[in-house]
Amino acid sequence: MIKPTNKNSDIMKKKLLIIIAIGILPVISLAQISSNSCDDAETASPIIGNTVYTVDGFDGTAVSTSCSTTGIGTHGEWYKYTPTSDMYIYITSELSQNFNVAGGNNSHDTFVHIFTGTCSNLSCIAGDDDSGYQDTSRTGFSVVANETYYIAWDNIWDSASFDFKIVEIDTDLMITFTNSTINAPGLDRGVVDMNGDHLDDIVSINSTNITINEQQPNGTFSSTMYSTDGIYSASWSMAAADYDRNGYTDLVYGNSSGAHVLKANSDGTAYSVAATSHSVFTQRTNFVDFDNNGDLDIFLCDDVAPNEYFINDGTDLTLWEGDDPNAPIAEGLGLYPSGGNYGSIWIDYDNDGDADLFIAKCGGEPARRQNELFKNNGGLSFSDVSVNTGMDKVLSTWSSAWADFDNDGDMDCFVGSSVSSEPHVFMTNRLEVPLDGNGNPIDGGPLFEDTTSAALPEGFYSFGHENVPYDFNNDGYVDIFSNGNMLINKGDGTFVVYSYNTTNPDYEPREGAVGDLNNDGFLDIFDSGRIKYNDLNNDNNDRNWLKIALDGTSSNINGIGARIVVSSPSFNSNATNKSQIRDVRSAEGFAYMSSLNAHFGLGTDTSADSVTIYWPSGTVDVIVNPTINQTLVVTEGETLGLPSTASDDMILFPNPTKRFLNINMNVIGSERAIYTVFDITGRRVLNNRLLSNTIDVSMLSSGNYILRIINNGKINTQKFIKQ
Amino acid sequence: MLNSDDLINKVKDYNKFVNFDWVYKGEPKNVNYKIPGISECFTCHNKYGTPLPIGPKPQNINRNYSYEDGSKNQLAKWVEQGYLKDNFPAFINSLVSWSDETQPLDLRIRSYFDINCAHCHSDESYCEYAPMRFAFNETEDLSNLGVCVESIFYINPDISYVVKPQDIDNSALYYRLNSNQDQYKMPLIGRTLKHEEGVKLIEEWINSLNTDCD
Repeated sequence: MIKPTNKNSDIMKKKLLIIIAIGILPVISLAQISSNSCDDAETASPIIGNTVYTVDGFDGTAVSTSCSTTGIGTHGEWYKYTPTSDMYIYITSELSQNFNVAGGNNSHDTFVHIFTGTCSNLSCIAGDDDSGYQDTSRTGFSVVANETYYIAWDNIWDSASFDFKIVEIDTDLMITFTNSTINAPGLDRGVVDMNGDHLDDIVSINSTNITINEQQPNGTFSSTMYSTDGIYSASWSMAAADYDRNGYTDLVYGNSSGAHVLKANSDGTAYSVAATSHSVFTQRTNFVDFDNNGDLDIFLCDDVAPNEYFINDGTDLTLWEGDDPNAPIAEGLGLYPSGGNYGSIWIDYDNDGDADLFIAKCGGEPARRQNELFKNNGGLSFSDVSVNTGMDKVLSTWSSAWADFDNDGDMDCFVGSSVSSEPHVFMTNRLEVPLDGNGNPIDGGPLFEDTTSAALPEGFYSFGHENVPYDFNNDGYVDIFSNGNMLINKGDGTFVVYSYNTTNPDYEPREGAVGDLNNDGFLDIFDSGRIKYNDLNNDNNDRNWLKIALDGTSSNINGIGARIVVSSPSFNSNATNKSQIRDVRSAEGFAYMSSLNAHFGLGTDTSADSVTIYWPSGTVDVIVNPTINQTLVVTEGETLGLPSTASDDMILFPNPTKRFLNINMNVIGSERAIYTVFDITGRRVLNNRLLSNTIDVSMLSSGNYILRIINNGKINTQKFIKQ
Repeated sequence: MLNSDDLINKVKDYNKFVNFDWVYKGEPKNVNYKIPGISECFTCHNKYGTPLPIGPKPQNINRNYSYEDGSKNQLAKWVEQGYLKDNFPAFINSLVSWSDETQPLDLRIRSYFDINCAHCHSDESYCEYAPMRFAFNETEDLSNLGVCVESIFYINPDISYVVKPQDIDNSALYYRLNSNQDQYKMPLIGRTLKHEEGVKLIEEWINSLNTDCD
């Protein structure tokens, strides 16, 4: 593999894109006034990036050439801008102070032309009328160091004063895509391995057939359409996993009338309906082993009623309506009578090794659209922790993006609003602060802190259904693809926004399933029946990566619910950025199924120190010094696991015990202590964070057990007897 | 009249499919209609979770109807029959029949939207969070009908407005009424077929608008 030491940004420079980004630097409004002509601007001080300027009415000379089809007004106001380095910039009036000023939902109606050259010989480089929210403008392009650009605001629609700014984006951060067509009839729903070769395939759905484009080792696709006996299409969403462990991936999808589980046969040559719900108004669906018996269950979000789920006992799927009095989960999983359930996602928010459930909710009265977080207590017991954790925002949303955006070892959350009247929310997980015995921070604050104003760029006014977290530029910081916008993680806990031009399906992604469609380690998007290949590849930058594919044995075969931890020189417990973490999930976002392979960007690290997999069964695998820039396939239990501490480091008492086990370790506040109890067959029967020195084992039946504690990357196991 | 037991009997087949064949204007038609579930019914028949009937309002029936004994204002007829007292307001801001081609197009379309869309697209209703407001008394303001309002929810790259005057292909509202795809169609619940006449009316209306969205 060629790894040039100097970054080659030519490929990026070639692309001239309509972009947006809002800077996160403190914004100060400068008193600098506009010039009345290009010549005046030429002698004035240049304006600078990430600073708000006010166009204080129009009395200057209009441009002589329009840089847009819109035309030319009677006056123009001029500025000069001279970047100090090569960058992407965009010029925008999409600022909140320009919104809702002209009655109703109308902003200042701005219009801008941008030129290069000299005042006597200007040539257009960009122009924009209404690409911003309401009638504001935004236009972006690459700029060259020390070249002068002339910006002329035009009063063709509106002569009132307004504000604007230039947002500068470091070329290294940019994420762009190139379009490629593919024959994929039906609803574009999935980028996921269907046949067990760990290469992401493409799945499209119709109500009576599905089309699978299998990725070949050479990067081409082999397309096959399979007839099905379904009546419902994947109108609202699709999820995928091999729930019957036969080596071929199965699907769940549905529409407003019901949902199907579509099962692959034993050699992946036919697909048929294995189970159906006729009673669900299907929204997001997920495969997840929420009862932790090793077999994948299925969760179905219901728009208009309590949620439903299929329990998989290893042989059959049994459908339950959440509010059925006989349902096995007494607390239900979202029982609001009229539903409002849109974006379910199973994440481990409390690092205890169980899949917890967050539901993005939308529509109706505030109580109906209050988002919900359920903690998995094990044994089909769940607790509604929405209020305690601070995740109970009343916010109309169809999906959330969960990842460790600040690389401190726990899952943070971006809740993407679906309406302009309710802003997006960014919630930072504070699992690193000392917690009490109930898992709540001892400082009295909620576990999740609303850090929206610090993390998200001011003026991010794009709304929709789809929010997914991936590291698209492999810099080791997880980005968020949100409805045609890339919230690019700057690595300091803040994001800059780059907006794609989504009016042309041939080159810019709006939403879709995410995976690696050319197996080059840089994530691509399947959108509107087209592949959007990531322009970054192994030849045009010096970033490295690692993909991890799981083959479960005791756990579910896809390793869904596993926590994967990758340590590398810049990301480890001794660095500012902790080891990177991923949960294997089916699925992310609202409608689509994205890759089951865990993808890690490693930044410029040229090696990785270790990969640790915490399987849902309790098995821990550790791979030391893995080869990077490859897909690492890990079979459950293939390694020796974590190193053990000396067994006499931990003493349990009383032993035997009737109810409580006391441990002679001071674990309160310990960052990573997890206890797991296995029965003598090796089956995991209890699992939780160790938040006090006492473990309640009263629910266990009499017999011999093994208690395992994982703390700071080491394990300690002791036998005990439950009387 | 139905009592509540009758009503429950009527909807006990909820979530079941009923297959219909019929001939319309010489053309054979078929639909496998799914009877909505009770929770689907209450999706529209409610205000902030409180069940609410959707029935004819005075504004819907304040016009002449051809009875066996001649044409008469329906409210007057209801008074005559003893269903209503005669103390209803003298002025009622009333709909027209959307299919009455002698009526102005804007009144026909506003009437059509009121009866088909306003139950969900109004304050305290299921789709309160979308900006449209389709009730007859709110639609003199064209922005409440989505005219020149940017479409937030992605359908395809061609569509950027809820309604773009004279451009049905760039109008989400037209796309949704013209589509039978579950994730796009409007109304969301209870519709299996396209209402061809309604779609034609909407096309005519969009083509008649001359607002410039720029």
